[in-house]
Amino acid sequence: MSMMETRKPAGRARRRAYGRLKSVAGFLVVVATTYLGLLAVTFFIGRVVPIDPVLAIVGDRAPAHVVERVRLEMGLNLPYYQQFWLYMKGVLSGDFGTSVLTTNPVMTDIRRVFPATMELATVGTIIGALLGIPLGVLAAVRRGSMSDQVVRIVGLVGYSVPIFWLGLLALLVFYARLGWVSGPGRIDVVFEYTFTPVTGFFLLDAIINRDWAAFRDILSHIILPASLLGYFSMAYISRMTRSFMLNELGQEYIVAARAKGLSEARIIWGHALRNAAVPLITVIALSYAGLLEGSVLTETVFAWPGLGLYITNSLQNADMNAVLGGTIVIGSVFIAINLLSDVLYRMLDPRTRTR
Amino acid sequence: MRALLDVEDLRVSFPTRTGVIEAVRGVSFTLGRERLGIVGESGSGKSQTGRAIMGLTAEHGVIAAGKLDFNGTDLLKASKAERRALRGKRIAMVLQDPKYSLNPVMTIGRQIVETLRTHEPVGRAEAKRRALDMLAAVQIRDPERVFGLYPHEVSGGMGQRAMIAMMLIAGPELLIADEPTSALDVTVQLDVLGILNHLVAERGMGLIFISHDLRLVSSFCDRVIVMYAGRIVEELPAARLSDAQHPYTRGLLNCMPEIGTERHPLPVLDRKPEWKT
Repeated sequence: MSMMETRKPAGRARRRAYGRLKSVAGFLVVVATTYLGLLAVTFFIGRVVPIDPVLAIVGDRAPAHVVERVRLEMGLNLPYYQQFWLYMKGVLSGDFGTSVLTTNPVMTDIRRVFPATMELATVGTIIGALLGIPLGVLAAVRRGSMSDQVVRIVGLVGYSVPIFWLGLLALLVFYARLGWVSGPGRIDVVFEYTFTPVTGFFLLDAIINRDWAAFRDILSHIILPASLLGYFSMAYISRMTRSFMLNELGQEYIVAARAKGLSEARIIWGHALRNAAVPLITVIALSYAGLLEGSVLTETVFAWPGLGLYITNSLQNADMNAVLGGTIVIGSVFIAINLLSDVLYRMLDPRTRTR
Repeated sequence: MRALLDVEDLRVSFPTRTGVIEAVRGVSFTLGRERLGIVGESGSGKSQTGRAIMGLTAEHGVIAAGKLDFNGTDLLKASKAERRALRGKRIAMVLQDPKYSLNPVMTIGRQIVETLRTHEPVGRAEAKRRALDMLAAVQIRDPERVFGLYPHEVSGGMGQRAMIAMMLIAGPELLIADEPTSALDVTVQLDVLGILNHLVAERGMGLIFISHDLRLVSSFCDRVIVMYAGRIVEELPAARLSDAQHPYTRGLLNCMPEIGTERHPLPVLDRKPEWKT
């Protein structure tokens, strides 16, 4: 501190700018390294699996000279480091090869399925956080009481009940019996020709198109699977919120806040939760990233054309390009979300800011 | 002179699974606008006495007293909301370690302003101006800069000054300082004590100074209460500490080493079970 005090303002500003530059550079190095690791792993997996990429394309009845020609075309005769270089160049320019199953470029497929998963995961996480945080706070504040027990049991059920079972049950009750929501899929066939996706996030697209009938329909499709995912992330988020809050409420600055005469509400929401929010960011980000992988079971039950379903289908059909492409997308999403939570962390906690 | 605080037979106990723990067992004293020191070893109930007066006893704790009167207000009968209105406004408390007792994600300025705006309907600009004045009053040289700093960006001594500023800004009549200098370096202890002393005298506040440091208390306070196992074993004017009668107080005094004298082995405190009754 004393160093800072004696420094002239101009020097301080330059120092700060330099510090920011350094942290951005640090960020980029971390991202690049992680990404290189991700590419190396997917490349390695692509070479060791017992699926011949040539046979996958030409089929197992092709004559030998055709197989040989395709092998050369694909560069499979080259040394591994050259293959890796080609692979990296392809991936970085968005070329994951062609899916055997759908015959589309993998990138095109992913552009179609990933927004579906992301939309579901986003709505699910919002539901989970909006319910989980207040419930966790309530449980921590009324520790040991009836409401604490209820929150814990609800969380425990969310943790342990298999999602496909709960999904089927929810469909049976809310769709088949009560008819409150729409059934499987993202949107009703009625809108198939009138609704034009722009971003692939249907809720957003409906708003852009000002198609309110479609918006309602999409909402009534997404609400059930999103609530289920939300329930599971709520279980996790509320438990973590509870334990972070208990930790914060035991700190001395809470005693000081009481000594100042602040109201309980202000102490809980303004002081304790504000501090608990710092580690909570990581928890919510990780739970969001987990949902972005695409939950295969939920997508299967609700016939949701998402990434999880796509990768599983590809895997069962030995469609390696699609599987690896999907893996890389998931990896990239993880890296992006980690970076985002890092940035948020810095915003929320002054102690982690570089000066 | 009318007493600012009148405590009679104060008892604080905590029921636990293994039985009731009696932290404070019948403490009585009155306090005017003076500086009262409470000394005792850890677990003697000195901090719990302070917290009971503040109304900050942990929720499961049980408080009983013959009388707990603050300037005409019966604290035993006051509702939770009434006690909250008193806290920070009329009775304030300085805690031990500014590293833990300041909210780490809030700037010092906001924390000071928060106290003021909880108790007085002042505008933002006015609150900031008064917070800056208060920071200047605790002898912070550059209030404008410190106002915008986070607790981890200041030293312990400056943090404790900010703490004092935060607790005194609403102008309390009674300040309870619970080991306010124990976490600080010896060199800044005296600075902080000096500031505290000056403000207490200037504003005519009553002060309860809780500490385990007998010498510090005797040099700083008008009157000293010595506590042991939840009871007051001796009460005497600070100047006459050397005349202490009780063997526990004498034992405490005897433990203080003097420069230039070699004592081996160092004296050990004698604790007799009959002092507890």
